[in-house]
Parts: sequence; C-alpha cells; structure tokens
Amino acid sequence: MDNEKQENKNLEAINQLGQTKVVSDNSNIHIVTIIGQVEGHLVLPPQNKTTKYEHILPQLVAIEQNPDIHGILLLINTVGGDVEAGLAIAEVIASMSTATVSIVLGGGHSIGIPIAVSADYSFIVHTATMTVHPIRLTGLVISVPQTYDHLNKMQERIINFVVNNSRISDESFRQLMFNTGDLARDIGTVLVGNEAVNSGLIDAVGGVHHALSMLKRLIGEK
Amino acid sequence: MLYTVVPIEQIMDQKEQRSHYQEMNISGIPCYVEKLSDFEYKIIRIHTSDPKKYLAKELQPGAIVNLKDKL
Repeated sequence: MDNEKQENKNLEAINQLGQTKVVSDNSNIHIVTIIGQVEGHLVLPPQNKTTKYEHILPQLVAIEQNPDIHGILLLINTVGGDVEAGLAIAEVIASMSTATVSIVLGGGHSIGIPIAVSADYSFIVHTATMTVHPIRLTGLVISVPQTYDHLNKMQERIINFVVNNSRISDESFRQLMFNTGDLARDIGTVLVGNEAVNSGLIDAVGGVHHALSMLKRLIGEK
Repeated sequence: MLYTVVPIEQIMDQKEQRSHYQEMNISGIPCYVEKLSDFEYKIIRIHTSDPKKYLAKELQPGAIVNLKDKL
C-alpha cells in the first residue's frame, strides 16, 4: 500500500515538475572536516593542505540556525596551525546548541586538541595520535621579559580552553605539555589512542559507528 | 602565531609559486578545482557539511566539469 502511494507520488512529481524525485532524504547529521593546517590570518604557501576559518565559521553558524540539522560530526586529522583560528573554531563549536561529536583520526596535534575537546563528546580511533607541546616562537625575537609573557599568555589561552572542555586537570595537561624524554627534539608528549582517553583529554576510544550512535543519543537528549 | 607539529620552514617553503588549484562554486557547492582548459575543471575536493553531496556522481574527486554544460 505504501509502495503504491509512493509510486503515485513519484508519478505526480513527474507530471507536475518533470522530475523523478522531489523529496530528498536529507541527513540531519552534517559533517565538518578539520584537515591539514588550520589556516589563520596568513594564507599559507600552496604545498600546505589547509582548513580555513572563513569556510568553517559561517558554516557552523549556518548549521546552528538550520532547524533540520540536529547534529554535527567533526572529523579531525590535523597537524595544528594558527592559534587564533583554531581557538575561534573551537569556541564556536563549544558554544553551539546543536549536538556535536568529534573523532580524532590519524592525528589531532597542537591546536587540533582544543578543536577535538570542544565537541559535546570526543572520540579517538586506536591508531590516532595527539601531540601536546608548548607553543614555539619564530621570527624576530626581542629578548625582553615581555616576549615570554606574551608567549605564556597565548599558551594559557589554549590550556584554559582544553581544561574547561575536557576531563583533564590543569596540572596533568601542563605535565604532558612540558614533559621531556618523549619527543626526540622537543618538549611535550605524544598520546596514542587509549593514552589520550586515560589522560582525560578525550572521552572514549571509538570510530564512526560509535560517534554516530553517541550523536544520535545526544540529539535524543536535546 | 602557529601552534603545530610541522616545522615552520616546511610550512613557509616557497618552492611552488602558484597553487594549481582554485576555488569555484559548482551547482552551488564550493569546490577546489584544477583548471584543465577554459571550460573544463577537474574536481579535487568539495567543501560542504552535507554528507549527501559527497556521494553526488558529478562531484566525485577527479570528475571533470564542463562549464559549457552549465550555461
């Protein structure tokens, strides 16, 4: 009976509009990918694969305003990037009423960390890694105390956001960030899959299926 | 200020002067495309949050769009 009805509907659509399909089965879950370098106020040279905030931010606001979209799945595979752009994306995601779930695939390093934890619930696949390390200073450095203060302030912004949006404590995040002996030529820690969950940074280990199930649950709750 | 695991010299390396890709709206969807001729463009990747669009045949990576068809 239902099939017959649908067929009639389709026939009507052909008669009326000259189209075979008018009703589209739009998904109420949209996906946002954060890949490569998170590009900030400076356009990076073409060999970099980038995620641009001028693409992502309006898209997120549009999703928030769309009553047909109930959830966002964030796919993260990033090497980091601009502090301001990364924090901007993370803040927008954290302040959305739409349900959000993130999955860290491959890597979610540096500024990818605040983006990963900004979702309502975060996942990491078994093989993905997250590098927690201090910010580095490049270019002209004036050796005055203010240089360090400025750098420290930038770092505090990141630490505060991560601590406020995940289960990790301020103390343990700093410990990971300033750890020696884990990275060959740098200070910091590489967290692989489970380790990111054990540290409290990420909520659970899981892939697409887990993330979509969680997203549907969150949508149901909202 | 960059916060990344990639060395800055690798990011700022200026070996390639110009990007092969450009951004273009095809059927209302922002796409990264590679110009093949004045009318033909190859899809490199599309930029949308709608998962259904990624299944569209004409927007698959490598698909060639002829703008003459769109006129």
